[in-house]
Amino acid sequence: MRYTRENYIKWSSYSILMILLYLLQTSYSLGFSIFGTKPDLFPFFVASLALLEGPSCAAVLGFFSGLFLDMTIPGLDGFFPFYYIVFGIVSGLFSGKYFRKNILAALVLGAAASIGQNLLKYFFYYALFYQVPLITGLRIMAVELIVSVFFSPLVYLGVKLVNKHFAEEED
Amino acid sequence: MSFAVFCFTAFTEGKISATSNITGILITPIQKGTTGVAGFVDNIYGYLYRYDSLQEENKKLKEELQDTKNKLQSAQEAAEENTHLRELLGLKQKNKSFDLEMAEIIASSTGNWNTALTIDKGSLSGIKVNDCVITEDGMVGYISEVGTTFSEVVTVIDPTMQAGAIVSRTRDVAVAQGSFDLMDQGMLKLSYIKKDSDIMEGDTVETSGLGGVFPKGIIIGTVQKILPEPHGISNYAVIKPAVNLNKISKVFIVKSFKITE
Repeated sequence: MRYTRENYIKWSSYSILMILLYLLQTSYSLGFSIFGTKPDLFPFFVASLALLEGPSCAAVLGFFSGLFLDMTIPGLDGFFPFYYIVFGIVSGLFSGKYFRKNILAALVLGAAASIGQNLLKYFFYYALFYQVPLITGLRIMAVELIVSVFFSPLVYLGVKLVNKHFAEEED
Repeated sequence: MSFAVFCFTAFTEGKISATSNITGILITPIQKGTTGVAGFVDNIYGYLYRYDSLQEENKKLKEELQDTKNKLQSAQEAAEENTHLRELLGLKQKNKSFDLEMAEIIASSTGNWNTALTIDKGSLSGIKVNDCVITEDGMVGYISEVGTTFSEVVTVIDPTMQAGAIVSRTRDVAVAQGSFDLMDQGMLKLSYIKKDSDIMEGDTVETSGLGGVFPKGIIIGTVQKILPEPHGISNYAVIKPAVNLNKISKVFIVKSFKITE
């Protein structure tokens, strides 16, 4: 990676996008939800980064996204940064070989990240410590996924805009 | 020629002379045009001149409006603060042993597995894990994690929340706890109610103070309906929280209290 001025600006832009996403998701007064279900857009953010920027960018920003999420979700400290680092690297390497850089691929990757994250949370925390029935867990996951997919194109477009702008400058 | 014109003019007294008339006919449109142009120029000049003064006046009015808006906002904030301080005073008068700390809600949790809130007070303000979080209306939740300048509040409807509870009217002791099935409806559960209990819809549920974690007598909510547990040994009640968890901006943290079981 070249440490040029453009790179710094690009990383700063992604960081601002991440912070905006965090503020949007956690804003108490905004109450960002559909029928009481809140979207989780971070899987789609990391997936879009992995697809458009590659594994290292996705892993680094995924780690910081995870740290942000850790602040607002009690009881799961460390899970999100770790999960998003691993997901960023794996999906970055995988998508570079097998996926085209388009919105559909970002949605598929994001949905996979969301399902994976929720399954881990369910089996290793909520089912284990709170005996949540599988059907209840699946219902929560499915509704969250649907609501998140609905908003996810906005996240992809945000990442794509930054990516495209700096790709053109590099050319 | 000029003499002829003079004689012609002299004999048409009282009337506009033909020469004047002809001159007038010819000159009037020019005069009209000139007057029009002069008026136009005068208007433009006046407009430009007044524009400056109007702009200045507009600026002044805008400043005054902004000033009034600021004053209004300050007054509203003061009124709001006054309300919160009155609440605080009321709470302190009602519960003399409470050491209360006021905090503002700054964020809510992401995801749908829990319902937590983030407040703007942390260990620097003496907040500790398990401190009870309340408003004038009742219990909001408890502190689950403490940062230096912020804390996480697990709300009463969160599935990880459990509190010893008592039904105000019947004095039945039970456990108030969040449930994954009721969380998205904004409700919680009152478990382990005896089959022969006299609990009715509308009954108030408050903290029992048993165990000494939460103070006694904080309103949790009201009974909406009573249903049998799947195992059939006992009943459970669906509770509507006393506090509207979507519409609170300030909360009070009970930092310490006198234990009365």
